[in-house]
Amino acid sequence: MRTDDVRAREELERCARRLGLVNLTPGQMEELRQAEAYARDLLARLPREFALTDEPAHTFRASDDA
Amino acid sequence: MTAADLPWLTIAEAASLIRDRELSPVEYVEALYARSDRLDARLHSYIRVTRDIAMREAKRAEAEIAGGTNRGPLHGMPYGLKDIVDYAGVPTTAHSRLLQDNVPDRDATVTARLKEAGGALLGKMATHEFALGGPSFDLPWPPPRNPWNTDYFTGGSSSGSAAAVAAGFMPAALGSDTGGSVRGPASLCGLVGMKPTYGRVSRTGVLPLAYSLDTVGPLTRTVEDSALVLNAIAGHDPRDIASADVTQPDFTADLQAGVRGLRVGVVRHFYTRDIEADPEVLRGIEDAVDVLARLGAHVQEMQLQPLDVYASCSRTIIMSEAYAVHEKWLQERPSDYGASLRQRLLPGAFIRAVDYVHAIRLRRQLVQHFDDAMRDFDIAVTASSMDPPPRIEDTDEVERTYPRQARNPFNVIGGPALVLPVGFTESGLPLSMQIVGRPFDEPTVYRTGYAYERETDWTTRRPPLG
Repeated sequence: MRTDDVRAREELERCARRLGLVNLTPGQMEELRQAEAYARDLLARLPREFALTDEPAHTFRASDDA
Repeated sequence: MTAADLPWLTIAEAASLIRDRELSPVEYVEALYARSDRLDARLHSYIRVTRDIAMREAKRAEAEIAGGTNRGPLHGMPYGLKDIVDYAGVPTTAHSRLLQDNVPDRDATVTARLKEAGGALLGKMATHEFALGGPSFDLPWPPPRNPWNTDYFTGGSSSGSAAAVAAGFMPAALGSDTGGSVRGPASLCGLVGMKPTYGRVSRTGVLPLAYSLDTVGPLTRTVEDSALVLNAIAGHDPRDIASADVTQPDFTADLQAGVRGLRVGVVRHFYTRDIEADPEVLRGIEDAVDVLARLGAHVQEMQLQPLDVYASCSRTIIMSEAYAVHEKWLQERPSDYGASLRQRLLPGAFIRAVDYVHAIRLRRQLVQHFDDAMRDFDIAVTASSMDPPPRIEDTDEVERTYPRQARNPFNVIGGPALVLPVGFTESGLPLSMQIVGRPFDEPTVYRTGYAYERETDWTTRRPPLG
């Protein structure tokens, strides 16, 4: 196995441990690698230009009178 | 009328016969079970048949009606529940190994309301696992098949609900819709599917997919039936934090009002520019728009944000919230998920808090943009699915067509969205369109759908199941 592949696999294993995903099979580790790529692609397309005062759609209200 | 006609009664027709004591709810239930007993081995729409419950509830309805009590149009009406909706004492499995033994001790609010209306539960219906993964062939139950051609996909995730209603196993079933899961299967199975306004129908006792987008809605064969079911299940529920405390109209009241003078915005760029729809889908929608214009609606083109903006907003929210729901099980029991759901959940692990906040800021902008766009219109129409149903075992085609849809914009916006059939492909598979209203304006959505439906005969056709 090439050094880059070993490094990538070790990085993915570290990532899985950090996420608490310690029970994934080797096949599911491959799913995790694909999931990271999918999320990266999705988030690259998410618009991020907002005014400072643009609040989220769901803003917490402490009561109906708030 | 013969016994063979009973499975094809609409709720409105059956209610009239039951009220006049020309149809026994018990015989009605028996006729529907006779059909599903014969055919469901080909469709797999049911996860669990609740025969004892259905017979008990039908007998009770029959006795009440004989005694002069009338609970309304759902009295004695058989129905199904997507198997993420609780019925006390009956397992709610979410079509998943993880919840095979999950038996709720309390009814979902929508179940309680259907009981109060006099309904008879025929069974719990198959779904994509936890209303997201699928179609999956590695779960304890197989995926449902499309009654119009069993080689084809039903759409999801309310797939069993759609297959059963389209097959004539029941006149109505409940589904859930977070990114299109009532409307997708309704579109692919030739049904009427309603995603009500977020907050219109309680989700208490319904397993969550994404809290800020989840809705519950009916799948039926006609617009009127959809309105009748919504009448029964809608209404404020203090146990659901998102439930809206608003006045509930009679959703059938305006059905006959017609569309003359109604300002209809056609969101054409969704299915011609943002995604190029299949030619047969395109023709179905454009013909339907022509029908509305012929009926007197003022039809004009309408611009919303591009579909991919809605899609990135919707997916970021769904993946973040769904991962929060499933994180513990993914850590402890990842192999108990089907591969499809696990693969759809795992990207949520890589979405940061700041990404999620940006998505819900974007959501607010999209809501405001829609409000502005609707100032010139009473209603909007557009595509639902961009393609006819794919073959269920053609994984590549299922994956290709899955995101080619215009449903998630209206989960993001939150208002009501109805799909209904607008024809069939040359090979006999259903085509659909989508009618969208301002938040809490279900009456105008139903009124438009009803006017179109009355001018066409699509809802009277039956799938070639035998």
